[in-house]
Amino acid sequence: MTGKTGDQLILEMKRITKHFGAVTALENVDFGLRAGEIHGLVGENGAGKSTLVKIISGAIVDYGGELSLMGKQIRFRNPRHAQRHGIGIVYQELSVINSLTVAENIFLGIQPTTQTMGLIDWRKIREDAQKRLADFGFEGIDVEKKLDFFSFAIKQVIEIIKALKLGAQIIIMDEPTSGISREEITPLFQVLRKLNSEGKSVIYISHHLDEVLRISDRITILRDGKKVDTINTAGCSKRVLVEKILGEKISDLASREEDYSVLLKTREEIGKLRPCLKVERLTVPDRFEDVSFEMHYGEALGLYGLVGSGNSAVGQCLFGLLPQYSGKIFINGNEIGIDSPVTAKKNGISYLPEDRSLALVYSAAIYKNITFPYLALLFKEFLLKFVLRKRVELSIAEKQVKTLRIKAPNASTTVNSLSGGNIQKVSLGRWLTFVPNLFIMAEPTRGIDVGAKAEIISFINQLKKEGKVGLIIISTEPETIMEISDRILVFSKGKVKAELDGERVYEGILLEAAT
Amino acid sequence: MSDSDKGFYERFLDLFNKHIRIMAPILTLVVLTIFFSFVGVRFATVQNMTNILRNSALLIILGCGITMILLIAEIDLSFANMMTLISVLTSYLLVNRQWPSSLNIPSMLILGILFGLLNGACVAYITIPSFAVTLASMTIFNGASEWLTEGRPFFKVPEILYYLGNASFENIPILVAIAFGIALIFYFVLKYTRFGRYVYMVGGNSEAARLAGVNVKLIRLEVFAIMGLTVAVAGMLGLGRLGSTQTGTFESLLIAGIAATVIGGTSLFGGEGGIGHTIIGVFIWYVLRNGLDLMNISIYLKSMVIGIILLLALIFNLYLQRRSAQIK
Repeated sequence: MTGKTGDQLILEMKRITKHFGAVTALENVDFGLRAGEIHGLVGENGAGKSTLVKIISGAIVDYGGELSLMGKQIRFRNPRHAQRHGIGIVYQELSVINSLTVAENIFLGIQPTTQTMGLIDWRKIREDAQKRLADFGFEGIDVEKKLDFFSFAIKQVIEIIKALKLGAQIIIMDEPTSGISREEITPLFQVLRKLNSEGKSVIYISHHLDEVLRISDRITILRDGKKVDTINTAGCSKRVLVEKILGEKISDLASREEDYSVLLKTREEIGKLRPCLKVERLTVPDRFEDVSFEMHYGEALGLYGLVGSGNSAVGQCLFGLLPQYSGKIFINGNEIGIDSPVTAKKNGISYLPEDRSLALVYSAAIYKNITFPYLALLFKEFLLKFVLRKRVELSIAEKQVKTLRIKAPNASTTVNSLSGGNIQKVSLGRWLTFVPNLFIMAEPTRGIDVGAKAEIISFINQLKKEGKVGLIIISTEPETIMEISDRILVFSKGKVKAELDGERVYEGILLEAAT
Repeated sequence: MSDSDKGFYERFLDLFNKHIRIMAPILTLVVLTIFFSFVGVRFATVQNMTNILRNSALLIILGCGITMILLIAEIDLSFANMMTLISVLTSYLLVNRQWPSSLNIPSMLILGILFGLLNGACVAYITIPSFAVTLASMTIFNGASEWLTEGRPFFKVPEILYYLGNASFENIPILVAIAFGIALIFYFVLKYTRFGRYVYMVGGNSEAARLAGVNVKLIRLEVFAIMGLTVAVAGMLGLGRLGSTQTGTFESLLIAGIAATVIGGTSLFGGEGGIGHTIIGVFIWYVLRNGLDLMNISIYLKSMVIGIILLLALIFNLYLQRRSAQIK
């Protein structure tokens, strides 16, 4: 436990509480960061990690509890305020500018000037940038080259250097390895150790438990907005960590298994179903490689993996968004090539994108969005096929509004007045005017409230029961995957690492397999 | 408060707010018309109104194409120079090659489509921003006109075009009838056909359209081709109306066309607006010009007033955009 009070804590947070409306994001969380330590912060999605970090970095200011920096109580007014007090944060989405050179990026906003003319001193910038990079073990980098040409890892180091130039004593790394390859992790860890040796502290947030165990000195585990424990990394095993992250959920899941196993199909049952999709040695360079599987009508196949593991790229590829793939794709036993969403749709493939804002035209009415994908088929029997008939469109849309229980005054309401859950329902419903062969759903329940989530899951189960469509469920959230999928492919670093039967899966195995 | 409890004024305000995108330009037009009727000499006469209508015709035809371009969130800066080139070529082929109208007119229509395809292919398939593409083609079209005319005006006009541009039937200028006919076709296509829906949806969120399995690039190409066709029609009718042409004849229509479309309430960001808007916008534009003419205001001041009104329209356009984004 943290408890060791005194001067060695550079940052101390006590009884931190934060509510978002009715949702409690953090409840009485204590957190202590020692000077010169690397402190891992782990927990499931929604456990409260990012809320905690936002409080430290001044992005959230209205919270309960106290925060003290080197023994002095303080409440940051905004991110700049936190920055001035030595808090640096490197987000998953880097804020570097690819069209500028390495040196320009490092000196963004604070360029040294020559003494005589007050002009920007480019020589000094070059030399200084080179030296700072060399300090971190990146020798011989051409700092005059555009950042575009460099790897994510170097961009990350540039972010760290930028933070240090602003006087950061505490560096927060938010999912630092989600965008980099395994080979690049070692240099990153060297950079972090270097920071350490200079007395700086690091908060390291990651889903990759192996990495957290490798780099950190201590680990704080959050679950459902509460702190579970802070432990010394030395002597801690991954299994212990997984148990702490999931808590009673493991035993919980054992009982829940029964409820869902009724719906989930066994391997023999699946074998009797009509084949829908077969994929052989599917590869997209840098995204995933050698992915092969077969699936059936009425079956839900889960593709689980962490961000960047390749699971969502497989979905994009099957919908024609990554046309540079190699390998074979069969629908109903016929080999097909998919070079665009247009051909994917022609072959009866539907796709629900991860990002809801890309799925719909928000400024248009619900009914226009629902009939949109199949507009060309809708008026087939009419003489003038290209003329729209509002009455036909409305009746189709009203039907979907009813079956999906979309909460809206009527089908002519524009999408931008709906809540997230209802928008997601519209995104689902628009592909069901004509039942597709294959429905790929990326993150079907992400970021929507519990009620809508349950409705969507029961709707997906209904689709499965009807057995007219094959389903691929893609998610980084184990719960979503488990509740729907008959079989699960676990992705890690672009490869299928394991195939699990839905009814035997529990969350711990998923996490362990993916990290 | 139920609707029946509200007074007339409140109900009007509700209606106004709900349809602000079309109500605002209508209100502007009404206010301007009333204003000039009182202030301007000879403004509110049948003859002057017919004049405004006749002047509006070419811009309405162009406005149909511009509206479609703006609806898919693109821009075309080349149409005015393309129109001049078409008019110059029509006259040139008549003078120097003795082409009959039966060959001349269809050729120009096809050429217009080809010009549009050129712009559209660069935008949709080579993915150069439409602003840059049409800036380049604008210069090309202008250069071609200069090359053909060598600075001289052309006075020869195919007779049928002269007739269409100047004759009236039962006091209705044929040109006006053609313009409204074309506007009607565009209105129908945009509102009641699959293609029209695709135009709005691509403009509203092109990524969503792509993920719905719509061939977004093809839609963009088609819209630019249609734009080329409308420009060809406008170019030939413009030649007929004026009876002569030379380099730069229709240059002023570039700003007029885009301004009128935007003043009418069609969004510069795509997906919202329509032909009805554009017709109102064109009327606002010409009522303003005509009204200021009749007020005997200095030509320099006139230009400035119109510029200010354009700026106000743009600010309003952005305000509407923000408002609809806020609802999200």
